[in-house]
Amino acid sequence: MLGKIDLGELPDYLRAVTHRPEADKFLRAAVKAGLRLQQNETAEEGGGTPSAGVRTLQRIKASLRKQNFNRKKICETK
Amino acid sequence: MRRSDNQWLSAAPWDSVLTVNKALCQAQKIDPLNSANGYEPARRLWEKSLEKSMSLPEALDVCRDCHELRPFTFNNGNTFAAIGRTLVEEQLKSVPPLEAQILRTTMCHYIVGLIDRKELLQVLRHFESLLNVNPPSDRTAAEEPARIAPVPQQQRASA
Repeated sequence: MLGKIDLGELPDYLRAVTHRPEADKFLRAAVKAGLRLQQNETAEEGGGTPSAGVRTLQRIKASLRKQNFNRKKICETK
Repeated sequence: MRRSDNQWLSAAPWDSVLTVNKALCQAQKIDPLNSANGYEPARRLWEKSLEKSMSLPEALDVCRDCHELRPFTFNNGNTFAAIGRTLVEEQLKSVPPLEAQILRTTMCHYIVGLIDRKELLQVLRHFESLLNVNPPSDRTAAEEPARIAPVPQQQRASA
């Protein structure tokens, strides 16, 4: 059964959450934003899953490469 | 104190900064280490600014200065950029998504030193009409645009 809670016995993180709910909300949002920034960075460096913008560019690049290849092939047959 | 100033950093005590850095390091499977030189000055600067009322550019200056002090061994940029952009997340909810993204990116770039203050202020001024901005009451406020109004909850608390 819960009796009187001695605030001195609460772990630091629990005390922070109990007393500052807005800080906890902020913290969660900040970590989420940081992880997203990290993912974007990884995508720009070429590792991991590329972002939507990078994927579009890669598709355009592949399509251009294919067009050039086909054009070359036609020129050679002529 | 200017009417449009806000305690921007009050929701983000230094412990939160540490937690964000720790989370980012854990995601990369690296140990969250502190730098011997930059940690204490950055912590002092952050804690000094925590309860101060300031404009948004001033709050972003604190993030930028702390980033320059490099308190951590890894993820200094992502840590302070994440904190900085989260400061205005409530206000950006009323801004169209594209403009909100431009503002977020600009603020992050300012914090990590990719753009200077002049460019930051130009972008903030450009989107001034979209943001919930209090009218400037003096000349200084007129020079520094986009003093985003505090969220309604905070306004009630300070009243």
